[in-house]
Amino acid sequence: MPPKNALVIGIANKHSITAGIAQQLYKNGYNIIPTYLNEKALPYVKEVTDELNVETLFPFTVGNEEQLQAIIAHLREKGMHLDAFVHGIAFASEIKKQLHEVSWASFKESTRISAFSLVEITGKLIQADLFNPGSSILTLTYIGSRVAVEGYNMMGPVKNILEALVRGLASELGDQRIRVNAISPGPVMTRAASGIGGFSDLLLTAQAASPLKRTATLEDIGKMAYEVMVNPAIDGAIFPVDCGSSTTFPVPSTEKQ
Amino acid sequence: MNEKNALIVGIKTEKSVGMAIAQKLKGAGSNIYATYPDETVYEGVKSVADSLGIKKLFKYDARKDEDLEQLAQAIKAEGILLDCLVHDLSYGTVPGAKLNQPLLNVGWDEFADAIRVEAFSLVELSGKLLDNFQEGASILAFTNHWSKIAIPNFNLLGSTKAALESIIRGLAESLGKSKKIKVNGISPGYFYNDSLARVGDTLEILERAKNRTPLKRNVTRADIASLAVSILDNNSITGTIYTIDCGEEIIGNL
Repeated sequence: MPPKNALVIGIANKHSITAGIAQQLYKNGYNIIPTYLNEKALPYVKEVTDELNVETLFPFTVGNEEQLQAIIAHLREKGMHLDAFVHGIAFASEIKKQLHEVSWASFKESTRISAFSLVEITGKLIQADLFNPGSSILTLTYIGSRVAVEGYNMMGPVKNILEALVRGLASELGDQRIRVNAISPGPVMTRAASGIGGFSDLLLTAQAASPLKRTATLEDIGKMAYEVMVNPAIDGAIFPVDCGSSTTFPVPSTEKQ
Repeated sequence: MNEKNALIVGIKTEKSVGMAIAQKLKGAGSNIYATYPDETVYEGVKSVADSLGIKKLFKYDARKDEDLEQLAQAIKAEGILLDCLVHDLSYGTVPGAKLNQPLLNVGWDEFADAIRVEAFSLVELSGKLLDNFQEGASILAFTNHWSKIAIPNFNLLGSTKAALESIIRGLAESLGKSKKIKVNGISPGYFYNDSLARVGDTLEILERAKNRTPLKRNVTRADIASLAVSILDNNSITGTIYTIDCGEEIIGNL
């Protein structure tokens, strides 16, 4: 059987959730095709991908058609087809502002990068006929889509757009036997998260909210992501991996012991 | 490393989803313990259990206090420390189940009976067996989409699943706090099983469900078992219901 191929967009460094997912895919025999955002990020991305036996990395920024076509040309040239596409891209220039202060330009840009890019990239890959039947597309979301989380600001609505796109794409791509799902991890200290105001407080709050009193590990997130990607009956689903922090409501005691 | 122990409650036939999970857990080296509800089905469960090599079968009818007591005592006496409990009990298959009736025809005793068998039994089992759970053990129960939608003449089962889902979250909170035990649920789409068979028109239901999914297929027991084992093994998830339905529930119709 030829090795399976996974396009992984969104590795910034070894703390990235997509790095945890790529590691699990690699462990299960997938060939990883990663991208990097820019030259500044490259050494940190390579730190991850060197461990995954990756030879070629591709520069990719959302909206850069040439870069996307270069990836497509490479896959074609090598006669490779994709079995998995992992989308872990998010950006919000005004993440530190409260929602009511956010400009349309920033919201629009964030919607394109963090949500609609899933449609754009998937569409181009399908046009190029690069998906094997039974392929799996996976993106990353956060519970801030369903409840307003302090500090998450504009990313809440943007992630909810992304989740609706997951359902929409799943419904449209089923006849090509391509599945589309999302993992919704609890907070993880990643490079992207460092832009969120009060993120270390959010981590501590999630940890305190979890009945297990911990936050999700990259390995556990990666393992669930892998199960979602290979399980032929999981489609259009949003799977939390958050140590129960979104489904339980702790009430801290104020009474003296 | 010590051998792991799993208690699977609700295996009825070789087609039970609990059986598919038991097979995978056994393959990964776990000892499997299972239950049977009463003597009338003992032979059937026994032959399935023997084919897999289940370590021991205990009698447990979710309607009987004394069964719960005896099960707990037997597990203590055997010195079994559980790493996981899989709960796949359905009211639909118990003798005398009140099915195919509007809610207004359901009496309180019947309602209470259904809630106990399908939902509260999870509380009773995990509470009574708590001392025999390993720290960090995993509990998994089976629900379905009927907890969130109304199905003509089967709304009793919607209530039981609603109870179960809330119990999953509640136990995740309390057992996580006390013993780092994880509690999760799987909500599968329609697949052939004993409870669905009781609903009637099974093949038509499966066919219609299949046509509603983007993938045009029904979920299989193997798919469910694969997800189940993944959930049982994962230390970063609790209190969560995972849908595995080939995308059926996300599809609306104009």
